[in-house]
Amino acid sequence: MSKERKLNIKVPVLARVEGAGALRIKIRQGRIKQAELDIFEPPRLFERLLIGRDYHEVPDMVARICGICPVAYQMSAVSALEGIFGLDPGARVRAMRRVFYCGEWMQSHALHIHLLALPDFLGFDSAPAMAKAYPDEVRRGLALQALGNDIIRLFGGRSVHPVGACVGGFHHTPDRPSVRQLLDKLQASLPQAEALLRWTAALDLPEDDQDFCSVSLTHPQDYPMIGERMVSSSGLDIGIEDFEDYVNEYQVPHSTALHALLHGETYLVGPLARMNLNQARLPPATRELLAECSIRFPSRNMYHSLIARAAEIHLALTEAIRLLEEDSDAQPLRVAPQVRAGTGFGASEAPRGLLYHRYEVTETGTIASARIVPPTSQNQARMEQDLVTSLENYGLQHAADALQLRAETVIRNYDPCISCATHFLRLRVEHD
Amino acid sequence: MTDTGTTAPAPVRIVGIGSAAGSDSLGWDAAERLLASGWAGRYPAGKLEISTCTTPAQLPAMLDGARLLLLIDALQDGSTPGSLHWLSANTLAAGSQASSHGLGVAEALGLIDALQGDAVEVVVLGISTGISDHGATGDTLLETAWPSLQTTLDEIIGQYLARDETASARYY
Repeated sequence: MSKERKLNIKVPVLARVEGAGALRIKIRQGRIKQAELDIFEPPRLFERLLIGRDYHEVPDMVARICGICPVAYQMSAVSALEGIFGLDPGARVRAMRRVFYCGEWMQSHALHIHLLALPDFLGFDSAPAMAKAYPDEVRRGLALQALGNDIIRLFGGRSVHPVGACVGGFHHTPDRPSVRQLLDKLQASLPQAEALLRWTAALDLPEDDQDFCSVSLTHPQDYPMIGERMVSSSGLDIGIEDFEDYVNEYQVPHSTALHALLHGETYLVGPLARMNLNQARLPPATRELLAECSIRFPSRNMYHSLIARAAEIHLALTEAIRLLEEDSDAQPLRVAPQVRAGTGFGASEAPRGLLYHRYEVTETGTIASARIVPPTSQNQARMEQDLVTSLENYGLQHAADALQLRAETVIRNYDPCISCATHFLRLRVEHD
Repeated sequence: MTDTGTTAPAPVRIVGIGSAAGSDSLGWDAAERLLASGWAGRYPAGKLEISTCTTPAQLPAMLDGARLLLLIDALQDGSTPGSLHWLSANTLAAGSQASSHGLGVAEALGLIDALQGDAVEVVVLGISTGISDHGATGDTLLETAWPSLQTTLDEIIGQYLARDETASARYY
């Protein structure tokens, strides 16, 4: 029966993802003939907008690319620019940038888990409907999200499009009473983060076994947030300056966002990839908590991304507490750069995965060229591959509505940020 | 972005929501103008907080301790550009089929309703951009809306504070 089935699934506007995208799936003779994530949001041309601007404008400009992960854009940018200027901002700046980043992981992951992904797994068609049945869990998620925003606000001046980060460190140093007040809130929230991880690990998530290549940054001691080396589950280990030698971006007709391949193959970035590659670098408390749960990493189940996000919330909270407790005023939070010409590379682990920046700067500090490769672009080809595998594993004999929901669930599980991904359009003009 | 800053959560929140550019920035621009003009100084310290928000999904987490939310957003409905409209949750829900955010304004308000119920009163004020994004600039639209925006906010906040005072007097 199913082999003769002809079915087209069209989702004109994907709900509960950031940005505007659609899905198109064609099933013929029991196989998926076409699975496309259509991205039609207009390109935003940020890389071109940066050209001609002064280097010190870059952190605030790139923060505007995304309302959810502005810290990631700022941190990748300042890393690249500091590389050009040969600037080491010092241990204190590095530690407080990590705290800043922890805030972003907490708010972004809490948002995705509770408002975007969980309704799929708990059988609700919207977050408000789910909130009526799970009010305490959603309140807990919103409290963790708000706490992440508090951290961003402490260093960034505001939680949305923060303006506190700069090349060399931060524009201002948070005062001690504010840090103490935040620390108290963070410490009081640890049981909430523990409960969230236990709860997500106990959820009845779909079974899904897939073969994919995980890619993330790596660090000798720490779970990676800002880094200089990139590794993969297939043995890659390169400096971030070699990123463009290995990752090939290309355009497909159905997307205004570029796709990316690593050595010609699709790959995964994001929380599951990070967890698969860096579980040994988790803080002991997070590692012990995960060990109590039945989920084991590395995992080939894409739906375990949800648990990886919950673990990263716990990690971020634990790390922020540790780093703020250890912080002292012995070193400044800003080091002045010595501007010089050159090309620099920066990468950090945005909530959705590896975010690569490259800048070329003139001797007066003007941006001559910029390249930004966001995580959603890198995951796009993998998402389409996942659609095919997941739907075929699920069973193409299911009703169209059920297949559509499963397809949307697959995409939402990646937490795609389409607004981030459509920052650039490669234009080729052909003349006769 | 607190105007009458104290550490206790302010019961009245004005949030300008939208994008940073184009006429969708009207909510943002209105909130920033309210702050810059010192308009909030007419209210007692600690009662009112003004902020901006680009992502509706962030909204529920911004309301810790709030009792009255006044949300200002750009409205594309074909009415007179710069006119101010008091919107109901139903109107928003009907027009929320294609939000470009992970969670649209209507869903974010639905979430607030599901979690807070009557604890937070929500008023949505839309400033009309006309039929499309083209034509009048954001500055012109906000200039047109500015007198009625101030009057409307004063009226709503005044009523809330009067009710709050009465309730406090009764309690004590």
